[in-house]
Amino acid sequence: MIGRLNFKDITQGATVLFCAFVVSLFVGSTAEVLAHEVDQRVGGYSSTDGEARMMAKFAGRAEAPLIGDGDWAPAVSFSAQIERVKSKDKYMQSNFPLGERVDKNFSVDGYLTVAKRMEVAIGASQGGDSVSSVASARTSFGHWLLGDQLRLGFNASYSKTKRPEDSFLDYDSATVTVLPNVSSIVMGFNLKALLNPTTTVTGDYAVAKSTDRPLLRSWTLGLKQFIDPCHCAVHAESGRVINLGKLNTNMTDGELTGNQWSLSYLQSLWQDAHARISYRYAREDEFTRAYGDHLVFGADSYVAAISQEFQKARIAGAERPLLVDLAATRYIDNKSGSATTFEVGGSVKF
Amino acid sequence: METRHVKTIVFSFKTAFMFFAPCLMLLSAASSCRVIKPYEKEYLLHPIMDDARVERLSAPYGKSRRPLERLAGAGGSSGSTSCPTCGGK
Repeated sequence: MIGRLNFKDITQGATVLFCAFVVSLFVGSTAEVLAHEVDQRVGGYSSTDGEARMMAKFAGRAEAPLIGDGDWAPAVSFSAQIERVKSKDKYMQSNFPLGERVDKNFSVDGYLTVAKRMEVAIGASQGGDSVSSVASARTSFGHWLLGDQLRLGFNASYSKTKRPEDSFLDYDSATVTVLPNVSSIVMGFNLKALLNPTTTVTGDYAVAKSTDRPLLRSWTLGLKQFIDPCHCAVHAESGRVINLGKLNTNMTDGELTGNQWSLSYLQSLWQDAHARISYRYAREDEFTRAYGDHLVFGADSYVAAISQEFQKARIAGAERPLLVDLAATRYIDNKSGSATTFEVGGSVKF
Repeated sequence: METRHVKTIVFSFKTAFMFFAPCLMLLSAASSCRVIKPYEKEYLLHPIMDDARVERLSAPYGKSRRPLERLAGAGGSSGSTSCPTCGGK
């Protein structure tokens, strides 16, 4: 469990969080000219196969002054995340003999909202450890239609992964080589429909083309229902991903088909406090390249979370809105065992 | 050597859930559709219906750590706020 993280991990995570907090206070007190928000998050992960992680994340978002008659609203956001990983898997054994590594991720996004109905975003991110890296760029477009009752969106992204070349002998004695450079393009459409005063439906469709996998297609359908008498809501989601096609010896996984279903219950508690409990089941079917064996993987995950907003918290010499959330997850699968995560987040608006 | 045949944990109630959940979602969506007046959007703007607030309650770190699921998050999805006047937050 989380207790496997030692004192050094915890102090390092706490130090990063403290530094991020100091930076946020400095930014908050010196950049009053822009409305902005700082967001911090720390989390711990521990699994029964001996993997332990500790994460600290710092994010911010600033809104630039409105342009024209106020119809054009630009904004920019960034995030930085550092994660310390302890593991005994093959990747770690090959590249990090001490069994520890540090992952770092940075991202920046720009947004433009036009007439409060059209949203355009463009962003880039860079991440990885000292051996592997992933760089990506993305863009999205969305527009509310039919009296703000239907939103149609489009998104596209490109990513490039660099990693050590590796090879191993498969069950049919063929040598499978992990490509050191992989690029992928994802394009997708999404919609959100406000059906009635208490019901929202969402849908996504995406296609992904990668140099080391067959074509991937995914669909997701979601329903959100607000229930007025109890001031609660039920959210359900169902999704399917298909990754079928001709396989070669540069592909480490077989043909894959994934399905997932989730059901969440959200409840308003006392003033400005909300809670969520959720169950999710995911299943992946794999047909291996070597002999076409059919493998079935299944995973259950549970989430319990609570958030509390303080409308007038005393921060950096002024009263500001503060949002705090706590969450715990339990993940159980039929191969590697189980894992637990805990996380704490805080967000301040300046 | 890695185990090649992995025992499934699929149970009958899950199979039923997998089939009926999308059907129920589609049926309820089709049966409840109507034009909403602007002042009726109060519930849709409630924090437990807003994507940005719900995301904070979704344990985003835990969601990013699903070791077995190779297809998790593939394709990506872009959520948006229920509120078109909130600037895409």
